[in-house]
Amino acid sequence: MITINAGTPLLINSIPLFPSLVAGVGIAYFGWTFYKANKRVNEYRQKVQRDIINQSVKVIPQKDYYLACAGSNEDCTDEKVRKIDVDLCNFCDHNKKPLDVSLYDCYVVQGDSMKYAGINDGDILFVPKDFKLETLTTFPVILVLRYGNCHEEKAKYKVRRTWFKGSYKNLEDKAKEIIKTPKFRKLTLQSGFKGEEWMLEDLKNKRLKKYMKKYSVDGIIPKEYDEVILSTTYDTKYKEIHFSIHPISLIVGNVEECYTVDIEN
Amino acid sequence: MELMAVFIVFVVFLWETAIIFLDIKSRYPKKNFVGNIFGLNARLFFIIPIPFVLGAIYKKLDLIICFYLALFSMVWLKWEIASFANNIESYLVDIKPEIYPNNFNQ
Repeated sequence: MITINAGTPLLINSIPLFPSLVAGVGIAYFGWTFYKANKRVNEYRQKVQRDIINQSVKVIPQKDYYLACAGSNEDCTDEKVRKIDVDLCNFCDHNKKPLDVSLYDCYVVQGDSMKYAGINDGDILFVPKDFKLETLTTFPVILVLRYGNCHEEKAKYKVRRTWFKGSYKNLEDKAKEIIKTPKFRKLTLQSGFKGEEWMLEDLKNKRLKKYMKKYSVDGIIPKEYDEVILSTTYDTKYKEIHFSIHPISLIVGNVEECYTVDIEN
Repeated sequence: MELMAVFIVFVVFLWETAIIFLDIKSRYPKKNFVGNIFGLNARLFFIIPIPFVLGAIYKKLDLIICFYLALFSMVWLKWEIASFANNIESYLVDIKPEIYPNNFNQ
């Protein structure tokens, strides 16, 4: 066995080869194992940390938001409802990037009439503050509307799924086209759908007549009420899906994002 | 005697590192460190003694290779610290709860 000599220029003559090799392999193996274990622990630690932070939503201070009625107006007896302060959370978009909540108005849903559109009781709706009517070109879209007649301390807003924007004169023909679209087909599979003919008859004999009665002057619809939106809603009282008609002046904005915040557990 | 001095410097370095982490935390009060900060910390913990150990071996055995390896390890250490400083944001996470959107209007 060659012993270590101080001052020897070449490494290979000074250090025993086999133990060095074993030590090198051992260190490399240790380093690799440590790296893998550390990586797994780090992922777990991040997950636990995120879960703990997300659980804190239960103790976040609340503030008042306008209620958006998704159901009968009689059931929505409050103008505002308390929900978690959105400024104290990161509400993320579908790319997991936090939204700038200052660009949105928030509404809290009360009622189940929009459940077939994926919006449930208690959900928070984000509506852009800079909404412009001209941007309403693709349908269906979820809209927040004002009530035509609001009473103090009652809900001022409602939610509807809108399928068409245009003149009230074209509504019957448009409704026939809408019923045949693939997205509307999904609605026909839900309970509360009473058939295409029923919906068209209801639109013609009830909804259109109600609109004419409410907005016409001497039997003629004024120009400001000529352009309307055609929406659907699930009536939670009569358990039926029907069309509804509103003038475009009642549109507040489109729902860009919807969040369910569970603080009951 | 020199080794003892080097060891003392090493302990002080660890202490300073802890202070730096506290400073970083106070600079970003609304954020917290993500888990992989400890991975970086562990790497630095193993890399930092290397120049000292190699320096000690070089002094004891007069092996020139130790000098070059010590140089390499110091460059590596500098790279690790600079990388951490330049990417400090990626090691921090918001303490706010994250809430993800529903799929609606499908």
